[in-house]
Amino acid sequence: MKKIISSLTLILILSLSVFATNRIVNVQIQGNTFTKKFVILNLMSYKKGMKVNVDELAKAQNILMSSGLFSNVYMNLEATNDDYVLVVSVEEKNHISPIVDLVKGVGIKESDLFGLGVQGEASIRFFNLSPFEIFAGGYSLDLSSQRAFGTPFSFEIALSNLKKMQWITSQSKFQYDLARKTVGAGYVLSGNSGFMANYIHENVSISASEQFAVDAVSLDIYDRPIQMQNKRTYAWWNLHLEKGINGTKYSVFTLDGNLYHRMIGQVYYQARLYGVLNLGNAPFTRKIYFGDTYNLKGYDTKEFDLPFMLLFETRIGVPLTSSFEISKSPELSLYTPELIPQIAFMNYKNISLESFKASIGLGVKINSPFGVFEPEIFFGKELGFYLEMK
Amino acid sequence: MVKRNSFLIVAVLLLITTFAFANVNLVFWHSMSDYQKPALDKLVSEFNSTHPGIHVVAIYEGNYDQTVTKLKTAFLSKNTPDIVQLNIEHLRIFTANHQLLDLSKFLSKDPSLKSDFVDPFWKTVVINGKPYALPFNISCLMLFYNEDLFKKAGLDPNKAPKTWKEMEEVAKKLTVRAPNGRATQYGLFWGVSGEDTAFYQFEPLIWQNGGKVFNSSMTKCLVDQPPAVETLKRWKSWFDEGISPANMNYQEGIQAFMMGKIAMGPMTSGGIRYALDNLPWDLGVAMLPSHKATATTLGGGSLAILSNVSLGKQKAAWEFIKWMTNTKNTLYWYENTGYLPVRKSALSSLQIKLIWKKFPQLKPAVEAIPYARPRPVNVDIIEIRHTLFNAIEEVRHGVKNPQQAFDDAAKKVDEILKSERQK
Repeated sequence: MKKIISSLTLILILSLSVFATNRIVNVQIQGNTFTKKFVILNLMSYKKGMKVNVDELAKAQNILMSSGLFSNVYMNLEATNDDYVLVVSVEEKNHISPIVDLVKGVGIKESDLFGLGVQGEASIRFFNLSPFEIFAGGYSLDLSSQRAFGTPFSFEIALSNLKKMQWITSQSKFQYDLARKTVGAGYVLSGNSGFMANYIHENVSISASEQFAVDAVSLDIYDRPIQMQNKRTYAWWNLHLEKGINGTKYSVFTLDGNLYHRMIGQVYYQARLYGVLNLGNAPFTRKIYFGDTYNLKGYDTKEFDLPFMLLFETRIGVPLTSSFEISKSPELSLYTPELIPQIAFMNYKNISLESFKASIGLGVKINSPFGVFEPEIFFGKELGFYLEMK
Repeated sequence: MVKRNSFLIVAVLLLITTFAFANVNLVFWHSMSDYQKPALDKLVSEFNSTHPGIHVVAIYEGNYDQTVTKLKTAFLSKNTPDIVQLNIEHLRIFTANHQLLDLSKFLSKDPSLKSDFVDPFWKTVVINGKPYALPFNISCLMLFYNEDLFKKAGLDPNKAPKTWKEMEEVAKKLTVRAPNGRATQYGLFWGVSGEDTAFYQFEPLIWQNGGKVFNSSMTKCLVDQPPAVETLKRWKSWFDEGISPANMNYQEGIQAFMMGKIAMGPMTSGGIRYALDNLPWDLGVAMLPSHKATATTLGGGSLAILSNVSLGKQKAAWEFIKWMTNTKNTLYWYENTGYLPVRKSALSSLQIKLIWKKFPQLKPAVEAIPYARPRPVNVDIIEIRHTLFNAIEEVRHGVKNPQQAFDDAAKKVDEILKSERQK
């Protein structure tokens, strides 16, 4: 009996000692002057006692890098007896940037609100860029996080009240006020894929005489690359499903597929396939197919009161350095002239030349300390000027 | 009372450390252009932001040879920088005239530092027993190959040739000819015309064939010996057989390699990240093929402090070069360029394993370190290399046979070595 007990004790001690080796007993975070430590730990999915696993740690490093909060993440293991302390040194990015948006107006974006990894946006609409009509009024507030406080849960709370929005169709031209509330929650699966569900409520008033409300629910399913620095080709996509509720009967399906391919040097090709299928009688505010900067440019897409649209856009970009030479590294790229052909297929029920619309654009992507912005000029049915900010 | 005194001492020490480096401006000359420059600039900028009393201004002064010329001129005009990045082969040019600072006094205060540098790298900065620089951007010559062309030729892209024989066989399979017999794609790109590169690529072939370029005391050139001459014959056959382009200069060769018209060739590990960021096909990186021995060339640069800078600046400059080569920064430099990590602690770190996950092509260069040999160094090394380069060029163009060319070159080099000893 004694022998059995001593053998069992020995086995237990041995198994415990095996269990105790190569484990991370603590994580030290360095270099974070703003982002909270718990947010970083959550992003890393660190669990105390985690066994040292290079694949898992590489994944954690990639998630930290793709969070948009850090420009560099350095990991080191310090041995303590049989176990390790993981030291994570981060370099924080500039987290405040300006917003210049054709619909929202101008504002400020904080990508790490109170160091919690939450993105906050506030903007005021005091002019309408399209017809350069100046007027006061309108605001947008948005609070969101793809990984709330570093967890895999996403959320979004958005509130906007935008005055005197333009709506021009071949039949009519009018202005309307739009008050929108959005509440959403989601979950990030492994890597950077996940889903997000939203509830949307809109109050619309046209010339103070006609008023109506829209209630809708939506679901977004997406897949984005986590670390694409070492890849020549990568793809990402988003599927958006939206359905009217509480008496508003309509459904919208949107697919946004993107492909990036570095051809030679830093010269790249980017393709985007954007499709919308609008079923039922959607109110006009839900018929904005792509959002202002994703439209078939050089056209006023509000004119196309059609249930279906498929847009194919390509971008061929040649990154240049500050001295206008072809760039040899992404870091040296300052200006990127882009050629942007677009083709849209409008009506799948009646295939004819009329069903196809095309435009061609020229843009210059400019890397600035506040982010990337790109003025564009498009030639379609009409001449159009656009400004994209990323 | 004791507490108050302690507080005063701490306050005085703080003041001393604060003002020790107050407003020290350092000028740093370097040779890192293009894709390496942003990584270097980022390190310098980070140093400046984390060292409030010191400000380093990094200035690109052309390639290594141009930096040597400019530095010689700067000494004449008494307008020298404080810190300079020198090719490890060029250190002797300046230590001969005591123009570089002996770093022993700083290293003696930091004994663990020296032992953390990778031994073969450390040897490149020690001259007559004294360290004159810290290794910074050390590289190995590696075999770069086009994985797409390997697949197209029915070869396994994960299996790079390991011997000369295998390399020649693979190169033949990768050479594509038009019906008129003219090559439209070459299998190999090794030692084509280029003053800076041709002999740099040729040198490890001599070592791989069991030979040496110089004797150990660097008093005699050994290229007239059978191992070197045999190597030259074998190398010439690659052009004669048409597997390597004979009438192409180095820049044209690089362009052809980039455009997928040449399948493989030896290139510096310091260019791996550039290749990964710019090539229009998948890159494979492997150890240079072996023959009688396994060997590759160690190259690259180091950070030296000039001996004529003031004591205050010396201390600040030491802080800078030490910081630039610390474990974290050497890994950052490695990930963003391909130059090898110079610290042992970096080679065994977690971070290097994470880097290999992202860029597996960076790993073979680290595995090549045990086989890497530094290039022989001498005060007149630029002239010596020029002579040896001319010799292989004469063979490539059929002006001389290998034995003649290396006999003549060895005599000339011996004369240079002799005159240098007599100075």
